[in-house]
Order: sequence, then structure tokens, then C-alpha cells
Amino acid sequence: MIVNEELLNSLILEMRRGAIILAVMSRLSEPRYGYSLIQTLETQGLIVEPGTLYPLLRRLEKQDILESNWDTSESRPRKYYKMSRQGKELYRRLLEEWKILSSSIGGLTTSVEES
Amino acid sequence: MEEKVDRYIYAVTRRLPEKQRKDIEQELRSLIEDMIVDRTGESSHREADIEAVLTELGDPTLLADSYRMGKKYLIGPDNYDTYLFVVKIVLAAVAFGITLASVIGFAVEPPQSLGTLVGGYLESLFGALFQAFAWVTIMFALFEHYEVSLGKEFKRGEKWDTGKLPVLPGRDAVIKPAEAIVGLLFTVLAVILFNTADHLIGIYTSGENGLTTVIPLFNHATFRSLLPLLNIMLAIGALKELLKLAVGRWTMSLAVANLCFNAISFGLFLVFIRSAGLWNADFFAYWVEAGAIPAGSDPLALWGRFITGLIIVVAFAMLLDTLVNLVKAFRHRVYR
Repeated sequence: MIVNEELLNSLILEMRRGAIILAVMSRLSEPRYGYSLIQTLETQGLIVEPGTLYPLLRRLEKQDILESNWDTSESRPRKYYKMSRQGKELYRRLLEEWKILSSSIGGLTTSVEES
Repeated sequence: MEEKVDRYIYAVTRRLPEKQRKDIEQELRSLIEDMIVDRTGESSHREADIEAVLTELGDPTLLADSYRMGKKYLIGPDNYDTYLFVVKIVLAAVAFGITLASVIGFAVEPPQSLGTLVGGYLESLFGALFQAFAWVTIMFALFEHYEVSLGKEFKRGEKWDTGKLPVLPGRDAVIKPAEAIVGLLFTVLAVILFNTADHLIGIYTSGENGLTTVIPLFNHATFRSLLPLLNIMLAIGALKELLKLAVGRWTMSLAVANLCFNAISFGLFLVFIRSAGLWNADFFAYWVEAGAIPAGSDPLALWGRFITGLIIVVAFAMLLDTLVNLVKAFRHRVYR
């Protein structure tokens, strides 16, 4: 069976969208800058393109989930992001939701379909 | 070769809002530097790395798109259908209005030749069509800019329950579009008439030499100064009809809006009709001369009584319109 690659990609993109937000939040109880976040996620096998991550960080900041500040003490100025207080609470709630979702999907996809 | 980095960053940021540019520029620059260093270490031959890093980051247009969170529209998909609908109606009304006004105008003041007739007609037709198109487009572009969404069944975020489902329109809960379009047509006609030809409203007399002369009803200077008032009144009238078209059936909120519009219109009408110096003295002089008004009685006092009668009639008409709307909405139990 030949799969429509374009369709597959758009479905994957849709599925990943929320998951990436959760992944990003999980690493931002401590301040990090964008590129170090990309590398951290990569060590856990999650590849996120800079073109996806950087705009996402800004969006989350605009929604008051993250806060940022510029560190200019090093040779290169870097923008550090970390979760706001609201962000931390949202992360806790999202994580609960994720666990329920994950176990439901796990159950559904391993049990034999009865229909 | 460093120039390519600058060019890349510029290609991204020039598509972004002014306020965000500097911040995104700095962030991108430090990202690109990190990515380069990650490949080779601080001091090495950089050209190939820059090339590779920029290629990896991909098309700057797409990157700018993700920063902008979606596309920008002059008129977005939410309002586009409504826009097309309104443009068609307005253009048709303007074309009809200009044609009618031209026919009347040419009958009153015959043009010198067929050429000037056709030329004059086409000039005013296309001028008016272009203006109408531009204004409707500007209006909808403003809606888009301020994120006004027209014709949505429910406001987003509002608590929803099944009671808010729209009532299936019965046969006469539906407002016939023709009704509103005819109303709109007359409004446009009135706009054209009052704005261009108030001096043609009056008594037409033919002198001995066969020339038709007009004795205008209105005092031209006063009328011009009151024109904005009249135009607001007509705009409210047009808005009323457009609202009917957009809502499409008799609802309580439409009836309430109608009540407000009528109240404002009536207020403006009162101010207009009772303005000092609105009437042309020659107009009354003509009637006295023609013997229609008995000598000795004051023509202005008679006219004043006529105006009072007119105000009462208009008040009744508006009251009736308001009540009919309310009753229709009430009958169909559409309380939204």
C-alpha cells in the first residue's frame, strides 16, 4: 500500500503539536535558551527544528506560560526562557491530561478491536 | 560570507511586525552562531558551515510565517462571503441609482450631443462604482484588522446550551432579501438625490420662451450645511437594511436594533426639518402669486402646519415599523 506522504506528514505535525509544548514545559522549570533546549530534547530522542521551537517559545511567552530575559554577560547574548507561575500550574494539569490520554491510547491500540 | 547570515535574518525579520524585529533578530543571530559552533568549534573555516546551517533553517518566508502565527488577510475567510454579497448588492444599487439620476438629469437639462450624454453617464457611473467598491472594501478591511467577525451564530467563548440553537425559520420568519434590497436601493437613490440634486427638487415652470425653470423648495446654502445630518440618517437606514440581510430572519435583537435606529433617525429628522432657513422664500412667493394661497394669510404659517402634519406621519410610520418588527420577532419566539 502506497501511503500519501504529505497526508502522513500533516497528521504527524498535528499530533506532535501539543506533545512538543509539553516537552518544552518539562525542561523549563530552570531557565534555558533555545538552542540548549533543542539539544536537551534531542538527547531524549525528540527532534524539534529551530524553525518550530523558536516561534513556539515566543508564542508561549506571549500567553504568559513562559517568561524570558536576555543574558548579555557571555560572549553571545542569549535569551533565556523559563516557566512562569501560571506555566508551572498549567504544566501540572497538562501532564495529568497527557497520562490519561496516553494510557487510553495505549489500551485502545493494544487490545483487539471488537466490532 | 557572514553577509549571508545578515541577509537571511533580514529576509525573516522584514516580514515581521516592527516591534518584534530587534528581539527576533538577536535571538536568530545567537541561534545561528550556536549552530555553527556546534558543527566545528569556535575557530575554523566557517563558510561551508554557514551555508549548511542556513539551509537547515530553511526558507526564511516559512520561518517568518511561523513567527507570525498564521497568515494575514485583507479580508479573511470568515468575512469573505459576506463581503462578496454586500459588494454585489451595493454595486447593483449604485448602478441603478446613477442610471436613474442620469435619466432624470438629462431630461431636465438636455445635453448638447449624444457624445456628452454617453460620456457624462459613463463618467459618473464608473466614478460612483469605483467609490462604492473602495468604501465597502475599506470597511471590510477594517473589520478584518479589528478582528470583527460578521454573521457568526454564536460568539466564541460564550456559554452554549441547546436553547441557543437557531430556530428553524418558518415560512414568514425569514426576511425576504428582496425587501431589504429594495430598501437599500431607495436609500442609495436618496443619497444621490440629496447630495447632488437638491436644487432640482421644487416647482417646474415654463416661461414664455419655452425654457423650463425650477423654483427650488430648499434654500441651497442651508440645505448644504445640513447635509451631513441627512447623510447620517440615510447611513442608518442603509445599516438597518444590511442588518436585515445579514440576520436573515425576524429576531428580537434585530427588532431592538431597529427600535434604536428608528429613534435616532427620528431625532435627526426632527432637527433637520425644523432648522431655521431651510425653506426657500421664492417657493412660497410662487404659490401666493399663483393664487393657491389666499392673499392675506401667512404662507409660512400654513407651511408650518403642513410640516407638523408630516412629522406626525413620519412618527407613526416609524412607530409602526418598530412595532411590526417586535411583533414578528415575538411571534416567532426568536429571543436572540
